[in-house]
This record gives sequence, structure tokens and C-alpha cells, in this order.
Amino acid sequence: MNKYTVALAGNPNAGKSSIFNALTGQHQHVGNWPGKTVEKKEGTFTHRGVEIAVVDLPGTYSLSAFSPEEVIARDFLIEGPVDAVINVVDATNLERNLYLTVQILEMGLPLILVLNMVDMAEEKGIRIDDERLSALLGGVPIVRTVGSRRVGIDRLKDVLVQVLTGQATGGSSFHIDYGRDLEREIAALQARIAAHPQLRERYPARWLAIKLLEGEEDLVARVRQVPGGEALVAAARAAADRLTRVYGEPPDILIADRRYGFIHGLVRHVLHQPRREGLTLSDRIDRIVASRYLGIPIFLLVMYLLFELVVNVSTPFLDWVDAVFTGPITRWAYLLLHALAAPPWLTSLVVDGVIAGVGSIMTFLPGLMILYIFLAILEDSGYMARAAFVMDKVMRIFGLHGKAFIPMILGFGCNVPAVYATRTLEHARDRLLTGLLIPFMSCSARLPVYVLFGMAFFPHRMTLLIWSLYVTGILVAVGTSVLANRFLFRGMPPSLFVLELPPYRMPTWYGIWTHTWEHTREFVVRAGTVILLISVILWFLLNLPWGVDNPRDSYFGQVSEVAAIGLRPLGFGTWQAAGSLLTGFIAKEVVITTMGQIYLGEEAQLEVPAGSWREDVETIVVGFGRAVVEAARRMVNIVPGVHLADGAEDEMETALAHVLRGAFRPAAALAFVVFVLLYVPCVATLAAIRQEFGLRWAILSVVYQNSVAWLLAFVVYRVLGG
Amino acid sequence: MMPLALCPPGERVEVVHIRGRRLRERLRSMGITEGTVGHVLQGHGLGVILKVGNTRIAIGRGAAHKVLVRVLTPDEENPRPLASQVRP
Repeated sequence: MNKYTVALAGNPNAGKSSIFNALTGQHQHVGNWPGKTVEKKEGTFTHRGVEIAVVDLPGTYSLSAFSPEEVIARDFLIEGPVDAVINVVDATNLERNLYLTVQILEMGLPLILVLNMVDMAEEKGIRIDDERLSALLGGVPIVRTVGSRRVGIDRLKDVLVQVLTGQATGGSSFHIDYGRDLEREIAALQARIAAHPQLRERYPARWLAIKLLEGEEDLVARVRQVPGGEALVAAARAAADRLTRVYGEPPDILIADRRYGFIHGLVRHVLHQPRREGLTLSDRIDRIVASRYLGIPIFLLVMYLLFELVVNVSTPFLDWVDAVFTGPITRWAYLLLHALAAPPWLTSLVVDGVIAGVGSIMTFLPGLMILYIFLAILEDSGYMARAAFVMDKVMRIFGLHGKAFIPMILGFGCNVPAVYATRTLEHARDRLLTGLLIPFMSCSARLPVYVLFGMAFFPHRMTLLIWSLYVTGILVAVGTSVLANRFLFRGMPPSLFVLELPPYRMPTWYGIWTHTWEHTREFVVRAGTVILLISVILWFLLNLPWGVDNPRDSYFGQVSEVAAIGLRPLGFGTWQAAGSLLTGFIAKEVVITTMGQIYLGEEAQLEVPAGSWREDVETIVVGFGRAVVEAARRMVNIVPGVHLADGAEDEMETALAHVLRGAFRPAAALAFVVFVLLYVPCVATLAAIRQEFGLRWAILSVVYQNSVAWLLAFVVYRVLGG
Repeated sequence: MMPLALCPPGERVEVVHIRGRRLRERLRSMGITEGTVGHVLQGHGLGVILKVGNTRIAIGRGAAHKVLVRVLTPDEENPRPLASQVRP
């Protein structure tokens, strides 16, 4: 059985992801903003005995290598090995989408044109003549689909197998006639390339000839590396000069003009579109959401609601999870270990190490889920792109590109994907600057720390505290950007803002759920593996050398003791605080895990907690019901003006919060959360920064962040009465 | 002729010239080039939203200053010259 590789290419918002899912049956995130699919996604399926691997290329509008995504897509298509390309095209935007199609066809790759979203095109009265379109594109097979409803997928698979097994062509005879003068130069270059043993192997000759004429920088550089390449590049340059003299414009413009002209002419022959349509619903929504006066206020309101929801609605659930972990689960573990006659140290390891550690993290799962649900709604509805547009001018004041806003907002979820998302920016300068600022965006892993300290020290001002921390992060990022523009990127303004606004869509339950579940699962898996591992290692470090009574004398305590010296001016120079921060390097949520172990472990008593099965069930079931009711009540209270009877503002507090109140003074607690907000992000983020921008920037990033964190925490502590 | 940035919302415009190679290529790949006719949905201090066919493209203020357009009168048809290379 042969195995083939097929690349999936298409514009952003053409529905590529839905086709990918339908083909491979693999759950994957379906999003709405341009440039979404940055990482390489692969899936496989077998059809009629043929095994096919599908590689999902980043969504791009062209292959002209202006953005890293275009380079990724182009290089994969050249270097492959790619047996065929599935080009997903938005049927409601045929002309624009074909620009990419033509560029892929020029590479000489077999192609299957997928007219996606044909239902929406029909609704708009758009008619496309498939036969003619196929003929004009050199005989490419055309398949109509509605990816979101899996319509046409079986036929796509059939056609794909036919093309792969040579029973049908993929339009490989296609080429655009660039006119006599251009064609003469192309032919001359093509002959030289075809005679070159290495280049002939690596690139389609005509395609490379065109690219060299266009003067595409990175390809020119690559050809130079090859022996004899220098002469070829010189020949291409001479040809370009000749053409420029004749036409008064460089060949890249001429070629693009011809290509575009070809598509425009072609579309006139195959497309019937009703004249001028009126304003769509999306246009009307944009009149308000993207308007001059309301755009920014609406954006701020949306952000405010986000934090209100995360903080208020999640606390009752948080309380419930905490009760379940410290109550029934701990008790059951005791009972089980007791029944197995386990030695006391093992019981301590399980209860103080594993359950306390993982439990502290699980407590914050509800808040994270609500955050992820909200981000998914913003993204899938299409609002995110509008927010980038509305914010562009403000961002520009601080020397940032409006699109930088998308990675930065993502940073509130998790810094790692946010750093990767900087690839949607076209300029290296914009990418680097945004990447350096992202760690100041308070990621969801930091939220548990704020919530914990908020509950312990400022239970009535939780929202305010969390708001101020997020705002502090944003302000530090803004300040950093201003400084960087002053010194690092002098005279290099951010690049111009151009972004497609996808139509508004009602987010589907399925979409929101997949998105939320994906992120939550990632978190749980991390909590379950890395954090579990760290919990266990920590427990050992805390209990070694064997037989230590006081954790302070343990290995961990000794290291932390030294680190604590540097933190003394900040008001929390204790070995416990320093130790928690040290483990926070691995992942910020671990700060709490460590605290759970150090602070609670100290008071551990090795006897079975009282309780009965009935009480356990009550804690789990009735507790959950109560949490739902409480969350609903709070949700109503968010709407300004509506206030249900507040009742006694019951103080939710976990065991850890109680202990912390004794360990920190309020000013020190505030300095501590500020430090947690700003100090070095987790190892994973650092790895992402290194991968994207290099080791030098990663090191600079660490040094800078820790200095800022120390300084700000110092100021907070001193000002607030240290 | 005027920069797109100064064009009031509601107008139908024809793109006459795009300054800057990168911006030109970028817009072209998204379906906007010299001769393209679009509808200005939003035009204000924050930038411009230009609707071409079924696509909405948001163009920041700085970029919108580099796009020169001609405002079309209501009775003007699509004025783009025919491309002559396609022979069906």
C-alpha cells in the first residue's frame, strides 16, 4: 500500500480547518481570525485502500514570502514531498482566493480545487461555472463542499485518490501567458535552470525563473549558495533591468499585474454574481462595533465583563472543588492507605505531596474554564479581528501594530501559544517587540495566585485587585514598548495595518466546547504530569536528608533560604516564599502547589479526618448544586443596576488562604503578587521565545523581566508601608 | 482623487494608486489593486473598512493614507478595464 502526502492550502477564513477535520476526523480548533493555523497540523486517513497523510498549511493570501507563514507554506510545497495539493477556496470570495490557487498551480503541483461554503454562495445568489473554471485552470478537478456540515467530503476523497493514483490530472498543464517580452526572459532563465543539475532537482524550472525575475529576496539568496548560482542571479537581474527599461516598472509589478489580470478576466467568465448587494448584518454590526466613538468603549466593556465573569462566577465552583479535595478525596486516601497498612511516610507522600499539590491546582480549574469559554466566544464570533482594528491607533501610539493585540490577548490565556501567534505579524520588528511584551500579559496560570492572595487578604476587593494586576501588566508592557521604540527600534515604526474582517458568526456550542476543552485538557494534563512530578520531587526535597523535622533544614529549604536574601527588601524574604517562586520557574501555577506543600504540609496531622460517606456525597453533590445557584446569582449581579439581595457576603476561603494570612503582611502580600505577575515566565514560554527570536533575546527577556519585577515589588512594598 | 483615509463612509470608490511595494503586494493578495471598486463602510480616525465583493478589509489609518482613491458617482458602473488574456 502506498502512502501519499497531501498539502491543504487556502486563505485564512476559507474554512480550511473544517475540511481538515472532516477529512482526518481529528478534533482541532476551528477559529475565525486571519493567520490562525500557525503550527503545522497533520492527520491521516485511508480511502479505498490508499493511505493519505494531510498536512495543514498556514492560511495565506499568497505565496510571495512576505510573512513567515507564506514562507512556511511555500517551502513545504517546494520541498515537500507533496504528491498533491488540496486548495480550499471560499466560494463567496472566488476572485481573491484564486490568487493563491494560481501561484500554487505555477509550481506545477497537481491540485484539487475545493469550492467551500457553497451553501453561503448560493444564498447570496452567486453561481460558479465549474466546468469552465476547471478548463481555464488547466483541467484541475473541482469539488464543491460545505466543510462545516461535511458535505462533499466523500467526493473529495474519491477525486483525491484518482489524482494520486494517476487516474485524473491535477491541472499540471497550467501556465499564465505573461506576454511576449516577459515570456522571452522567462524562457531564457528557465533553460539555464533546467541545465543546472542541482537547481533542476530542487525547483520547478519555470517557477524559479519567474521568482528570480520577481527578485524574491530569500530565493535569490538561496540560489546564490549553489555553485553557478551567482551567474544565474546576475542574468535574472539583467533581464529585470531590461524589462524595467521597456515598461517603466519592475518585473515583480508586471508579473503580479498579469497574474491578477488573468484572474480578473477568468472570474468574469465563470462567475455570476448579483449586482451590488446591500449591507449585510455583519456590516451593520460593524457600524456600531467598529465605529469611531463606540469601538473603544465597547472593547473596554467586553474586557471588563470578561474579568467580572472569571472572578465572580468561578469562585463558588472553586470553593466546591476545594471542599471535595480537602474533604472526601483526602479522607478516602487515608482510608485506603490505612487499609493497606501503608507506612506513615507513604501516607504523607500521597496526602501532603500528591493530593495537596494537584488539589490546589484543580481548585482553579473553574476560573480557567470560564476564561477559555469567553476567549473562544470572542474568537469564533469574529469579534477579535474587530478589536484589533479598533485598537490599532491606540497600539500605534505605543509603537505597536494593531494585530499585536491578538497575540497579547491570547497571552491572557497562556503565554506559549501567544508567543507563537506573533508569527501573524509580517515584520520581524513587530514580531520581536510583541514577543518581548507577551510575558507581561498575565496568563491564566498566574490567576490562581492572585485569587488565593485576594481571598486571604482582600476578600471584598477581589475584582479590584485582579483588575489592577492585569492593568499593571499591561502598563509595564506599554512602558517597555515605549522604551524599546526609543532605544531598540529607533526610526522603525510599526508596519501598516491591513486585516480581513471575517463575517460575524454565531459561535457554535461545538466550537466553543472543542476550544475550551482543548485548553482545559492541556492544563489538566500538565497538572496531572508535570505538576504531579514536581509535587513528588518537592516532597522528597522537603523531607531529605532523611528524617528532617523542620522543612527549613531540608535541601529545598536550604536553597530557598539563600534565594530569600535577595527578596528581603521586598517584604517577603522568607524561605517559603522564595521556594515557591523558585518552583514557579517551571510553571507559574506551581507556585501554589509549592505553597500548599510548604505551608499546609507543616501542619499535617497523620490521622483519618472525621466524616461519613453520607457527608462525602453531600459535599460533592449538594455542594455542586449550591455552587451553580451561587454562580447564577453572581452572574445576574454583574449587570449594573440589578442587585439581588446580597445576603451575608460569605467569605470563601481555602485552608491555604487562612495560613497565608499569618505568613504575610498585607503590603508584602501585594508586593508578592506583583512579583509573581512580572517575574520570568515559565520555562515553556522561555523556550518559545528562544525558538522564535533566538537565545540572545530569551536571555535578555529573563534579565529584564526579573529586574522589572524586583523594582516594582520593591516600590509597592515601600509605598504601602514596608 | 484623495487618500482613502479621508474618504467619508458610505462612498463607492475606485482604487487609483497604492504607494509602497509591500502594501501594494499585501493588498493585492487580499483582492485590492489599482482599479478595484469598493464600498467604504467605516472611515474615521481609527481607520477604514473597505468592502470589496464579499470581503471586508480593515485598513489602518497610516496605510489608508497610502491608498489613493477616486470617489465614484452613483451611476458609474464598474470602471475597471477588461483583462484580455483569458480565452475561454
